[in-house]
Parts: sequence; C-alpha cells; structure tokens
Amino acid sequence: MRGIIKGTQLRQLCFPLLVFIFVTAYLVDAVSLGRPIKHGAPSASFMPILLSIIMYIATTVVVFGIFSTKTSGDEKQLSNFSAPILVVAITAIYIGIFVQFGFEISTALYVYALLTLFGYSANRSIGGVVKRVLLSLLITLVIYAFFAFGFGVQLPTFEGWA
Amino acid sequence: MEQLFDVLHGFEVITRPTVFLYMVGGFLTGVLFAAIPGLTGTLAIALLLPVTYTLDISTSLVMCASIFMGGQYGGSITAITVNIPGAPSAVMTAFEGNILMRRGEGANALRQAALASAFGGVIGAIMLMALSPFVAKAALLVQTPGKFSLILFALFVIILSYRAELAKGVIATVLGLMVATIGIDVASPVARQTFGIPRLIEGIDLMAVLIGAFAVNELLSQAGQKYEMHNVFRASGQAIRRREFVPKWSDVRNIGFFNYLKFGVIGYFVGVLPGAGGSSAAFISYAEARRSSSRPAEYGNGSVEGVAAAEGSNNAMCGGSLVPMLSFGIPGDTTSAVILGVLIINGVQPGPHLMSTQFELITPMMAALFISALLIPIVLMLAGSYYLHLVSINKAILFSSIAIVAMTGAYVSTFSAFQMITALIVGVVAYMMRELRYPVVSFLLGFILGPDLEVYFRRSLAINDGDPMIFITSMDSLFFLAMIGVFFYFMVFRQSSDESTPEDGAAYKS
Repeated sequence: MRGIIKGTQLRQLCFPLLVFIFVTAYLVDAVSLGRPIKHGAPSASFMPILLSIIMYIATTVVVFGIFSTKTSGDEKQLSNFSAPILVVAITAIYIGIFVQFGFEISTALYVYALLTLFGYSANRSIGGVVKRVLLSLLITLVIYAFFAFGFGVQLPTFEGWA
Repeated sequence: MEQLFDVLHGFEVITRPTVFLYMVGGFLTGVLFAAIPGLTGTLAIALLLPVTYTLDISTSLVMCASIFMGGQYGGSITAITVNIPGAPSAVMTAFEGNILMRRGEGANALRQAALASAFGGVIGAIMLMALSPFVAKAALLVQTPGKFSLILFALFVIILSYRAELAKGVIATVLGLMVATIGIDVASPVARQTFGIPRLIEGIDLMAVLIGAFAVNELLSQAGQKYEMHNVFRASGQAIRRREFVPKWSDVRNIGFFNYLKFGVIGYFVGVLPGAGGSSAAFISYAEARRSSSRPAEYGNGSVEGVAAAEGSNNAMCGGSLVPMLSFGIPGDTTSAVILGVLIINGVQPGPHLMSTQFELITPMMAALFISALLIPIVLMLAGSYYLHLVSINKAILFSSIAIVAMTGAYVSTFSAFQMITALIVGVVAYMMRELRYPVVSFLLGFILGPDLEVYFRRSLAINDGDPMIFITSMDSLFFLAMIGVFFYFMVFRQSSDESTPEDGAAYKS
C-alpha cells in the first residue's frame, strides 16, 4: 500500500463497507433488546451480538487482505456494472407499478425494457420496435398462461379494466 | 421390511400419469436449464418453487428430484460440445470431453457422459433408499446439544470448503445467519432486528431469498456480460448422426462396472458432506480415476474414462446430498438446500421424525431420482441431435422470461410486492458477493441453518442451567466438535494455501 487506493481495491472494499454499515445498524438493534444473558441463559439479543462481533473481525481480516494483496494487471476483469444497475432500476420500477397497473401492462413494459437493454433487435427502426413489442406481448401472454391457467394462480389485473 | 414397502409405494406413486408427467417434465427442464450456460438446475427449482404450492408435496418433490438429476447431467452437454460447463460440476467433463469433441469423438463423449450419469444416478438413488432408514435411526440418537454441534460442523465444513479465502466464507455464512435472525425470536415472542420496519416482523421469506440468490443474481450477472447476449457458440468438431447417440455395450466394457460403481460410491459419500456438492464429487472422482487408471496418458488429452468419472460421480451426489437434508435438515449442496425449502414451505420438517414416521412421503422422490437417471441415455438417443442447438437460444428472450417468472414467483409466495422487493435486494447482494468472490452458497446455507442453530444452542443451555459444558460432556456433541477439529486440520493445515481446485472457483457461481 503506497497511500494510493487502486480501482480494483475500491471495488473490493465496497462489500466490506456495506457489511460494516449493516452490521452496525444490526448491532444497535440487537443492543436495544437488552442484555444478552438473562437469568443465566442467552436471551434474544445473544446471537445477534455474537454474530456482529464475528462479522466485525471477519470484515477487518478481509479489509487487511485487500490492502496487503498486490494487485496485478492480469487480474480477473470485473464485470461492467452499468447494465446490472439499469436492470435493478427497471426491476424496482416494475415492482412499483406491478400491483397498480396489473400483471399484463407492467410485465409487457418490463419485458420490453429488458429486451431493449439486452440488445434484442437493437436497431432503432420501426421494425425493431415492433418486433420487441410483439415479443414482449407474447412473453407476457405465455407467462400469464403458465401461472394463471397452468397453476391457477390469480395475478393482479389493471383496476381500470375491472 | 416396512421401509421396503414404502420404497415400492414410491415407485407406484410415480407410475401415476400426472406424477409421471411432472417427473419427465422436471427432468427435461433440469437438462435444458443445466445445458444452457448461465442457467442451472438449482435455478430451475428455485423458479418453480412458487408453483409447488399448487401441487401435493410428493409430486413437488418428484419434480424437484428429477430436475436435480437432469440438472446434474445437463451440464455435461455444453461442456463437451462447446467447452462451456453448463453447471459448475461439469468442469472436469469440459476438460476432457471437449478435446474428444474436437477430435471428432463427440458422440462417444456424450454417450459416455450419459451412461456414467445414469449409472451414477442409479447407484446414488439405491444407496439413498437402502441407507436412509439406518441413517434416520442413527439420527434419532443425536440429542439437542449434538444437533447444535452438527449444524456448527456443517457450517464449518461449508466455510472450510472455500479455504482460499476463509474470511470471505465466514462473512458470507454469518451474513446468512444474521438475515435469519430478522423477525420473531426463535425462543421468545420478541420481534428483533427489524430496523423499525413493521413488515420485517414476519421475517425474511425463504422463497424470496432463493429467488433472489439464484434468479435475480443470474439476471444481473448476465446483464453485466451484455456483450455475450448474441453470442452463438459453435460446436466444434463434425456433425453427429442420430444413430451415434445409441449407447453400445462396448461403451460399458470400456469403463467397466467396477469403475462405474466406484465413481458412484465416491459421488454418494462426497454428497453426504455438507457444502461439498457436485463439483467436489466430480473432481475427487476424476482425481481417483486418474490415479488408478490403466490408461493415465489419456488424461488431459481427451479421456473417456475421465468424463465417466466426473459424470458418474456428480450424478451419484444427488442421492448423497439428500441424506443430511432429509435426516437432519442440513442440505448437502445448493440444490438440496432449495429442495429443503420446498419441504419447509409446504409445512414438512425434515429430520429423523420425517424419516421414521413419514418415510412414504419422500420415497416417491427417491424413486424419481432412480427413474430420472434411467431416462438420461433414453433422452440422449431421442434428443441428442438437438443438444447442439441448445446453446444458440437467444439470451435476451431467455433472461427476460426468467426475470418475469422470478418476480412473479416472488409475488405469488405471499401475494405481496414486499417479497418482490426482498428478492431484488437479496439478488443485488448475491450479485455483489459473486462478483467479489464471496460464496453465495455459504450465505444461503447460513440463512437456512441459522434458526435451528440458535434454537438448539439456547435449548441446550436452558436444559443445563446455562452451563456450556453440556457441549463437551454430551458424547454426540463432542463427536461433532471433534470432527470440526479433524476437518480443520485436514482442510486447512494439510492443504497448501495456494492450492487451487476447480471447485473453489465454481463455488462462487451459485
């Protein structure tokens, strides 16, 4: 370590940092439950406190490992995160509109967005758009049939159609 | 004798047309999912988890078992044809099989993979059926402190199996244990670790975790490799005629019954170890086959025996991995962890009680493993020529469909969008873990085993006035604690720290 944190190290540090934040919030919640041992026996807070301590130790070891390992040019190329972040955003929107818009509309929009993101028929011509729209409708229909008719599952429908 | 009748009853159940259809459908789904790079049999079961609500438990288990068997075999198809292991357990198959394919002996490799998988699967299923009643009786002898130490042992083995980065294994496992504590306390009516969110009082739903850890994780991973979306892998070597897929007697003689048996037995016993899985089974069996082979020069240059060793063993592992899951509620690998989820979600608690009083409930699943193994060479004969086209399925369509099935499945578990959010969050965490080489399987097993670990720990102390010496003075507990020491010695001290085995890398995949 020469005072400079490299890009790969930063990426490696992301997860321990998130874990550290989670464990701290988790530990605060656990401590609020009271003493870990009551009447000579472990209480509800015992296991969470114990796990938090183990986690702090393991996280520290990993962080030290990240800084003590020499990074080399032939390391595994980490994936591009922009597309996964877009998928997460699209999925979050899908979940947000799923109940209100119903399965049919929200799913068709979601599939269209995913097909576009995954580069299906990527050209911007009318033909490409029509192809994606038709495919989105087809996939939505097939999966609706799978759940609704195949297994009798009742899926939410657009309230305006009711 | 009673167990024998239960086993026969299991075979009778799968002859019923509906159950048989679910078995064949499950098997083909398993093969298809495992054959497509990026998908696994485990993902297939996780995606179909919500629909098991609408089936009776035996049918659900039959479907899961056949997906399991098909999934273990299916990984060999793309491993041989395009050198991309469809499942982590097919790494050694790719190593030997694709060389054969490029040499124009692809049909031979595919036939041998199917035959060995069938032999291994059958051996694993027979051993499961024959030994389960005895394991269940032995399991009854394990008392509460022993159950705690056994689960602790299982978690240790899972962590130690990723010995390359032990601290990451600890983080993944403990994270799973932590998430499992969210909700109502296991021993008192106290809500804990809810972070002030009322919805978390009910705890984190297993289905949402499974869908997140497998389906959402895979979706994000594939999105990260967008450039491969239109890649159509080309099978190397010449085209294979349909009749070349018909297994020959000479194929069996080439390997020998004793070797098939050996690969199967290795796979079964590796499967019994928690966290070991198909990758370890295949690698250990391959290493043993190479060590004892009369044709060692073939290894590394396209060995049919090497293909048989890996495939025979990873299919026998199916039977073995169900032993700790059914007898103690401790899954042997990720797929059996998901099958454990099927049992729990449907209100069946695995353990010695299940094995001794409800054995007939699970014998159809055992029978399905047996019959599914026999289906492997039959399906090769009928559909072998289509195998080469599996890799050219458009991934954009495939993963868009998977995303919908996963999200809808999460919704169906409680008919609430909250579970969809949970699945998404778990998926994002699992994806980060996978990218940064934290074993997702450890997280999953920590989550599944966490509640039992805490219950047995606190119950043991409660019955002994809080004295932890109960874990030493109780013989069964002491045995498992000693086993932790033995495993620690052999897996950490005796192995050189820089030694890398194929299962190490594969472990991060799922």
